[in-house]
Amino acid sequence: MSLVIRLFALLFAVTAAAETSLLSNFTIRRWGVEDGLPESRVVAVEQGGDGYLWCATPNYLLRFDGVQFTKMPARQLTQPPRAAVTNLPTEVTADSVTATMTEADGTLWVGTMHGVYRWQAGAWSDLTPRDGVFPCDARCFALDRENNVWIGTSGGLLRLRRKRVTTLRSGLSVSSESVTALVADSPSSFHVGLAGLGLLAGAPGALRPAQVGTLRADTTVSSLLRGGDGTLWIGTQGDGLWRRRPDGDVSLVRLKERGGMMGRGISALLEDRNGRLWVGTWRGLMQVNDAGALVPVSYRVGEMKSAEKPLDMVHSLLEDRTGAVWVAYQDFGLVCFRPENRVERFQQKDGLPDGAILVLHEDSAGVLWIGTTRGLARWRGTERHRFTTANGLADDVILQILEDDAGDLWIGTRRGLMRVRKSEFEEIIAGRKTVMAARQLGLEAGMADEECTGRLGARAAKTVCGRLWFPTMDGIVVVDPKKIPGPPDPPRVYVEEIHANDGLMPWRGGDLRLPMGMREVEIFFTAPVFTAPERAHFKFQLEGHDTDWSRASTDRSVRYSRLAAGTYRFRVMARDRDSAWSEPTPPLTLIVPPFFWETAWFIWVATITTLALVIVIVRLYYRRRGMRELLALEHANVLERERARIARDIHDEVGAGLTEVAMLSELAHQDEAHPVQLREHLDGIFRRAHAMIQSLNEIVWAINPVNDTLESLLSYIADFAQEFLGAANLACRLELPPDPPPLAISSGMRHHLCLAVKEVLHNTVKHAGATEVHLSVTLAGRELTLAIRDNGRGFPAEAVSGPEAGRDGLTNLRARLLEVRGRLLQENVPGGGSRTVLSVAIPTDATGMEDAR
Amino acid sequence: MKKEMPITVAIVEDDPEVRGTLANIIERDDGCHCVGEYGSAEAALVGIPQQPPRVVLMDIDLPGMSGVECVRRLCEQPVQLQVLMLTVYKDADSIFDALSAGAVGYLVKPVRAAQLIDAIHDVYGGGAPMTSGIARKVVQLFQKSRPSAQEVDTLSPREQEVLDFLAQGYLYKEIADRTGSSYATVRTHIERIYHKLHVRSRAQAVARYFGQKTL
Repeated sequence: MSLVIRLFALLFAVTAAAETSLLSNFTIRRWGVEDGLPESRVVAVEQGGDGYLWCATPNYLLRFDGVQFTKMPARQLTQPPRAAVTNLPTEVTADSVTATMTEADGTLWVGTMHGVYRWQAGAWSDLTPRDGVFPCDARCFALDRENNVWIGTSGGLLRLRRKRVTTLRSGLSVSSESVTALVADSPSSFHVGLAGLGLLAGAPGALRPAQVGTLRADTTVSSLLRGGDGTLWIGTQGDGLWRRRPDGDVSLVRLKERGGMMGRGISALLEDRNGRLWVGTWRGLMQVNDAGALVPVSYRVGEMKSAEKPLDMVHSLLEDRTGAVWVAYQDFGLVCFRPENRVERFQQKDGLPDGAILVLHEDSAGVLWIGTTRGLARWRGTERHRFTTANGLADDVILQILEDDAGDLWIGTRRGLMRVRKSEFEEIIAGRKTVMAARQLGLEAGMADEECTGRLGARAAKTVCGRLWFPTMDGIVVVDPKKIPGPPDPPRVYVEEIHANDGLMPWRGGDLRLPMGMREVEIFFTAPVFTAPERAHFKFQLEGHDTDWSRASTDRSVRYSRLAAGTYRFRVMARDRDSAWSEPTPPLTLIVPPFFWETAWFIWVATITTLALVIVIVRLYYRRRGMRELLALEHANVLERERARIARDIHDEVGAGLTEVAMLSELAHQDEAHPVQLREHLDGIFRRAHAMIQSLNEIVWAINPVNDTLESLLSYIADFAQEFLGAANLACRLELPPDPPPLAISSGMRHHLCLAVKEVLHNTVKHAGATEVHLSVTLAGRELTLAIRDNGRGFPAEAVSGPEAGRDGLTNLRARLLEVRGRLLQENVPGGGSRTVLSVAIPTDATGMEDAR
Repeated sequence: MKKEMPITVAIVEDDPEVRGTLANIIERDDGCHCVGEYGSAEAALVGIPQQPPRVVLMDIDLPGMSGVECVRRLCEQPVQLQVLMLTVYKDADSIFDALSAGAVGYLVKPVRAAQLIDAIHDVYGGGAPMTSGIARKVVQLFQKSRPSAQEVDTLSPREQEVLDFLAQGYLYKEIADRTGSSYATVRTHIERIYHKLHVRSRAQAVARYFGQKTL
């Protein structure tokens, strides 16, 4: 108890020593322009409800997650109001105050243009350029959830992290103080072994070399033990074990057996409840016998045939609550000397981790904790469990184990200190967890060096008032467990940005549907933690792509390449270094749209279209076939009619002619004796034959498909007119299109038109009494007009409409024109003569062409 | 005129009866003398060069080689002969083809004896009958041709005029009246037109042979 008071007195003496620098209580880190701050002057800082730290520079509003500054849409920012402060340090005037902040415990922070001042427990401490922190003008203050103090300065953002530990140093001007042994009798009476510095004594910060008889000053004291009778046992590395009695008498403990290294290198000391001193050395276990001599301990264990003295390095000695002494060997395993003189040995096959045993500790519940180079073993009765970094340990080399007054386990490793609730181990054993929640203390907590010592005998210790002392590679780290907060709450985790094909997606939460064709997705997420942001870990899963959560990683983004079309759900969780895993974020639904040929509707449409196409084609095919059949039928019909016409023509023209020829021949025979009649008959025969040939000519010309052109028709009509009129001594004048278009005219139409013209010319020669006939053909589009004009006497009135003329010529003419759907116009021309106009539309359809074929 | 050397005539006609009748008609005329009767174009191509007549009566429709082709080949021979085509059908295209190939006139069967003899004399005297239909075709052919440096490729304005009249149905006599020239001049023009038509036709044949196109 007196120790506690004295320790407090010591600490008070430190804080009361006038105005101190904040550096003694805080570690400081600055973020400037080089860290991504767009402007160096930070005018406002505040932690938002979302956990982000929001900073304002003159022109930007920034969101900070501990790693990255993100520019946010700027708004008009107002300067935080200045508070009136009294009781300022002498160099601070009210005018120069730029910002203030009051913590919940009443601690006041004052920012000025020259530095930062803190009023706490009735004293000022400050941060000014003389502390080497520049600039340290304070424009604004903020306190984050992790209790860090943030200060906006003209040169960036300062984070003041509270030191969780106090480091006790020798006060000697040495670069490194590797603590090898430690015993504290009172706050002002320490005995400390520092590597290569012999034994030191005094108060922290003012240690002096302690004279230990003839012990060399540069030796390394590896173990210190204050015996029950007040004797200080001093174990050294290579210089044996020394004893300093309370009366100041110092002597080297005599070795019963001389020779070798045995008894020279001392690595562990233990005074059991019977007052017997157990000495662990580099070459086996020894005891100080009643005669005050150091003697090796021989024992028989397991398969040993006789008692032996295992020559293995002893790392740790422990007397448990039952009085059993446990000896931890480097390789020989764990040996337990039971009070009833029974010796047990535990090896790997008995559940011991395969590494060297470095430290033993029995907790208040009687559980044996074994620190090894391969993790931490927990022995409770016959239960054997081991924990490693996989379970959240900071390191697998366990150098120190202590239990604080709250029952939490403190573990010293090469990577700092850990405080773990013992229930965490039970959770892991029960399978409810794989990773323990722990509070880790390292450099950020104020340790000068994270690496704890202990290999050669340096032991952590707990003071009566509950403080924990951990020897480290640089000083003794003192922790007050009561002031160390428990594991922090899990951090909040956010998905910040989504990039697709390296472009930022416009996304404000909710589902995200990627544009078509974008298959490369990168998701950026973060968790705003500020004490050790670089140690925050993340796990994520893209449901639909990942089968399980990813491995924990400090990466704050993940990239997915070539995502298949589909719907995905992205979730991410984070863990602060000391916290448990956060709840996963609400799933972010990511829709990768299919390419249009991948979509169901497209496949449907394509299928239906294909089907429809097939149906249409098939139907078209059958329809065309039907059409063809119909056409063929029509064609056959046309041909039928044409054939009938030809047959009729041949019968009419040739048949009648031949009959006449036959009859005339008969008459010629009968009139053989009458030359005049005979010649008449023969003449008649020739005329009939000639006429028949003419008719046949016309029929053949009409049938021959080669002549199914307008040109052929015009040629034929022109030649006929010229010949016919010439024979009748009538002048023939033709007016035809010089180069008629290649229009097709069916044989039927040709035939009828030819006969119609013939009829007209015949009538003209016969009745008109004309000397000249003018035949003109014009073509307007497909409208063919044949005009036959003569200079004769014109149609008699009754010939045009009268029954007589009509019966013979006109009726035939009209009938022919009707066949080709043509029109007939007959009129007398003023000034004499008559005119007959035949007009007909040349059909365009193929049937006109085909019916001649 | 009758005292002069009779006009030698060869007949190419596949129908032996028609051939005989034709020969009979020719032999009856004092001014004509039939020097050869051939039943096919192939036989004519062999016989005619050996015994060249002044006038050939050529049927268009022949078995084997056509009459038109026969005319073309005969006109390539270095013999001076005039070809009159005989046809049953007034098929303008084949008549025009024959005229292009080198024939100078045509008769439509059946022909009266007098008509035949007149035509032979006419052709022998250099006359060339040309109907309006043929004239139209000639006009069209020469219109379609592109301008050429060669004189034979183009018609002279006077020839063009004669052709135009022909196409309009005017007779030679009427054309002579209209143009203020003689009947003989008109005939000469027409002869020359025929000549140019042959030349063109030959050029076309050559061009066709070399796979070119002149039209």
